[in-house]
Amino acid sequence: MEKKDLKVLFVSEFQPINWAMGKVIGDLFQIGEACGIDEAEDRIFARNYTHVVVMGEFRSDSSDDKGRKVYDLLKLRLPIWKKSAKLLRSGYSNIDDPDYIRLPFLIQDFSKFLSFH
Amino acid sequence: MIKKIIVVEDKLEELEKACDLVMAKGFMPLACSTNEDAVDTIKKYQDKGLVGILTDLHFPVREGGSPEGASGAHIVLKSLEADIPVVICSDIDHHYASWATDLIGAIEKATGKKVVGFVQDSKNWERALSLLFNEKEK
Repeated sequence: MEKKDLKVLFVSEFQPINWAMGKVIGDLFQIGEACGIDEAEDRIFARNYTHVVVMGEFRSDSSDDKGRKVYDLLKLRLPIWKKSAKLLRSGYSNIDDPDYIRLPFLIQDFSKFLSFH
Repeated sequence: MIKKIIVVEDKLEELEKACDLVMAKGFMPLACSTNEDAVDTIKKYQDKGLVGILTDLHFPVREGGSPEGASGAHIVLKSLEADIPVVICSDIDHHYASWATDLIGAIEKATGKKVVGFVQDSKNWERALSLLFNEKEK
């Protein structure tokens, strides 16, 4: 998929990160948006994103990780809403998983990563 | 604001069936498969377009658990406390459902509010949804 075809939503509970990410990805893709956890589901239900990236800790001991909770619910809800968006995780943790984007890497070259998904 | 209906059911096929009906009526379904998810979702959306709740009776308390007791009764309590219309939809045999009916009755008495309906004997989501809509039209 070409960069110009991607419609990307970045979701996190941290407003400054959303502001920065909105700036970074805003110009990269056809749609590049960032929003908080509370408004994410309304946006995803109403629009057709190609990628939804949720920021969280995603560690096994982080039971109060809001990002992880949203990610888990979206895993259930996206197919029910008939949305084909690829759901990815993101954060600062050192997690080695093809669906996980470490945040510094994301800022450096977000579009390269998404081209593999 | 998008109008939303929470659907609580741990069997994916049934959950999809119920949510498809909700979407066909123009509402956003908020699917939940555990008690924990449902309680969090009620809190999150009770002032953000949530118009009703459809709930099964038996489902796990949290992810990875097995269906236990009557988790749906807890969802009923949370719904009535938040003043959100709720319909229970379960394939529980009505001959053996008196304990559940008694439990829901006790919750209604404690909160001073009533559930919109209790669909028994079959997972008839269409009927459950129509009960919810009838209540909304009152």
